[in-house]
Amino acid sequence: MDTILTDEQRMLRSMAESLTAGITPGGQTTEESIWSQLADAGLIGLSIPDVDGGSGGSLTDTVLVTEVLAAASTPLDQLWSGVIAPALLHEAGAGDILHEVCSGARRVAVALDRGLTALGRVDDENAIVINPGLAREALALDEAGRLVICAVAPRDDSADDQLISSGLGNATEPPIGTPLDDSRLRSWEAISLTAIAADAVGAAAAALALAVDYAANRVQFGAPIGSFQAIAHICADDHVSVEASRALAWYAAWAVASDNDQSLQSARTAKIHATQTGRSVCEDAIQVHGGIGMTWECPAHTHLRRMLINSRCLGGNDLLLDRTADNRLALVDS
Amino acid sequence: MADKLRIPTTAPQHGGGTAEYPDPLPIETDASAEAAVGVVREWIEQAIPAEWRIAAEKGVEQLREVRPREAYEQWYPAFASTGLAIPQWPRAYGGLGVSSTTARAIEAELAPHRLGRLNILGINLAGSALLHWGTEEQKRRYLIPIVRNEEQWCQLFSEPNAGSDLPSLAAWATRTETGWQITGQKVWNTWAEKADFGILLARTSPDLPKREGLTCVILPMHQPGVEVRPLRQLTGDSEFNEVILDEAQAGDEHLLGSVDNGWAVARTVLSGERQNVSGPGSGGGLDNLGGRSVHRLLQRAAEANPAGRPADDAIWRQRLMKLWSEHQVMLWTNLRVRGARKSGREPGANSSIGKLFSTEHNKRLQEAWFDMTAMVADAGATEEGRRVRYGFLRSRANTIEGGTSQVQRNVLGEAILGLPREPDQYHGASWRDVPR
Ligand SMILES: Cc1cc2nc3c(=O)[nH]c(=O)nc-3n(C[C@H](O)[C@H](O)[C@H](O)COP(=O)(O)OP(=O)(O)OC[C@H]3O[C@@H](n4cnc5c(N)ncnc54)[C@H](O)[C@@H]3O)c2cc1C
Repeated sequence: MDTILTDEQRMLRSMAESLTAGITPGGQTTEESIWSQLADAGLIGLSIPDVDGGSGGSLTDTVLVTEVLAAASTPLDQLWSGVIAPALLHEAGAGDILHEVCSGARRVAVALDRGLTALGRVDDENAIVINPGLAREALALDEAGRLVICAVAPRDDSADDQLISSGLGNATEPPIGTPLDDSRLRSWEAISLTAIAADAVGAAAAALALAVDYAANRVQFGAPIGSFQAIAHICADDHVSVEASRALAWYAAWAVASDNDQSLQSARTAKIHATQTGRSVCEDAIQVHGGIGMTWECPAHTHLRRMLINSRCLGGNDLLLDRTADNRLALVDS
Repeated sequence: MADKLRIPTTAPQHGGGTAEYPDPLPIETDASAEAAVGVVREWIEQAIPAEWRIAAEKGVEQLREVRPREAYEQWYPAFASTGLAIPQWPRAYGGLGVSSTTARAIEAELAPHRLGRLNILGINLAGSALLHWGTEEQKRRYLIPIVRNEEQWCQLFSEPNAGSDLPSLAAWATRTETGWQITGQKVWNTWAEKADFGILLARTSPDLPKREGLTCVILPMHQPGVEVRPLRQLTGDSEFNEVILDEAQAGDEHLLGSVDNGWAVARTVLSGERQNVSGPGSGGGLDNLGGRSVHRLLQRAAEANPAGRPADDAIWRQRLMKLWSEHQVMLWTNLRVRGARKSGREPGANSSIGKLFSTEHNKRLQEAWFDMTAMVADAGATEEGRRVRYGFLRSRANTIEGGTSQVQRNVLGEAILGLPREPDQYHGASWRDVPR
């Protein structure tokens, strides 16, 4: 595993950064225009092989870009429709649809079960679609374990702003590719968990940067609040958390790509750590801002909201810890 | 002058002069808990609509259906005039004047009926300051309308550049021929949009050190010099505001405490606020903190669920019991602080214990609610999930409002443990000379 980024990876990262420079949370940029910019830059299906319509990048590339996009608070559907859905289509061996998705021409979301722990079933009336953004269709499984594409019910504004729970419409076309067996579902899960971890790292890093910047400038008692150890230590601890999560996400990207027996385990570990510590990093950012942190205008809460959804999707920490325990403790000689 | 500026100097005539409110209940100031509870039981039977009583037993949601907020607000003054809303206050000012033990027994008797206090900023912030610092005239003028929720109050302390360092504030009160004129900007003022009065802190002597030149003012909110602008919170609600003061007027009768003695008054308000945020012990304290109670969490955990009951899950069981224990700690700590208050001692810096503990606790509690709905509900996509998420987000403010956790820890370290103060290069300097 390389622990230092290559020149290409650095360039990719700064490209993503300059792309997002124009995006301000809640600002003028429309979801539509962000999407076409991402597609033009090859960032939709970034790690899908060229032959399948993607950009042929590594999973590490996806992790780097996802961090940057999350930090800029690009809508959450980038993660789901731009990374997780293409990965699923790829596992199913989808042809045309994957090309369409990677080109940005077609947007598909992903449905999960009511507990948000696994891929949703088309006949499950409690299935939940994760922040579909502008996507009007979502991927789910049929009773034979095949991937199908269904219509997404319109958004119910009274519900959680990041979830759609009004159920799925019928499948709109025949099942896609080959049935997804357990091993393919596990590969998809590993990629998805890694990407969610990267998203969490990006959101936490952005929240921390916000806090540090505020702490350096806000004056109380005649001094910048960052000079009070109570504040400096919060920021320092959070920096340790973010760096640790980043290390785990990068390691997971490498392990998952090399498809060794530690892939899923490392992806789970990364997701657990990044979302668990990420939640407190975002909350600390609110705390460091004082009253301003509780306002809508202060972006700290957008990072927190993102973290909340990340922490639940594809298994909350209880569940994932339990699974890592099953896996890891089985290796211990008794 | 008061007339010209529409500054009310007399209390509202309740009920528009026709409806008379009941007298305080016949409970003697030295009544035992048992005697008082007997009277209260009788009152409950007669005065609380049967429909409300039945619904309250079933739960908050059921109660909300038969007792909408407006109906409760309409009924409330009659309830409050019995003295039951705040039994430990003197009879002359809207309470029953009973001991804290008796007051607690009364509150416990009322608790199942969910008669949450209204005007909590009026009661806990303005009320405690008025009781302690008000003239007899001021107490008679303001306290009963506070208790009956006929005049609502807000707190006008914080400013954009004076939050944790509150005594450095800059809003300025100057003498006029008839009284005082105040100019400046206040911020984060909860419910200022519906307040009739604000308890305001302003600078009167800028050449003195920051704590020595402040004065506390009862500011009539309905006047041309007061502009209230809502601020949107991260929950999406607008619970707090900024308040622009442009030559707002107040009379001498509106000063609370003497000129330049405002910091002492402010400390009473702040310790009242810290109590407020830490919950009164019964009677709906959690409403103020925001979110759902630990009791309901335990109930929810024990309900049958397809994904399994959290109450049967080893990890959840431990988490639930930790939260429940914390809740017990909170109750007992509050009772001790209240006990100390009743026996004449100001809770003072000790109120920081309850504030720090209960706000950090409530954040953990709402977080547990949030995590648990992922297991027992549709992961937040339901009405329950939405409410729980709201409670989670709103409670993030608990460790900021009423003085941040960092500030509470500083208070505990310095004022209670006697540790040396944080180095302050401007200690004792004139307010004018300190950078802001
Ligand atoms: C929901 C809500 C409702 C409110 N309602 C009212 C109201 O009705 N009326 C009113 O007057 N005010 C109200 N406030 C304001 C509240 O009292 C202030 O927000 C609070 O005192 C913090 O001040 P600040 O926002 O200026 O933050 P700052 O003082 O700028 O603090 C920023 C950060 O620095 C830290 N910090 C500051 N000084 C120190 C130090 N010496 N050592 C260590 N850390 C330090 C703080 O802990 C915080 O984390 C409300 C606030 C909220 C969030």
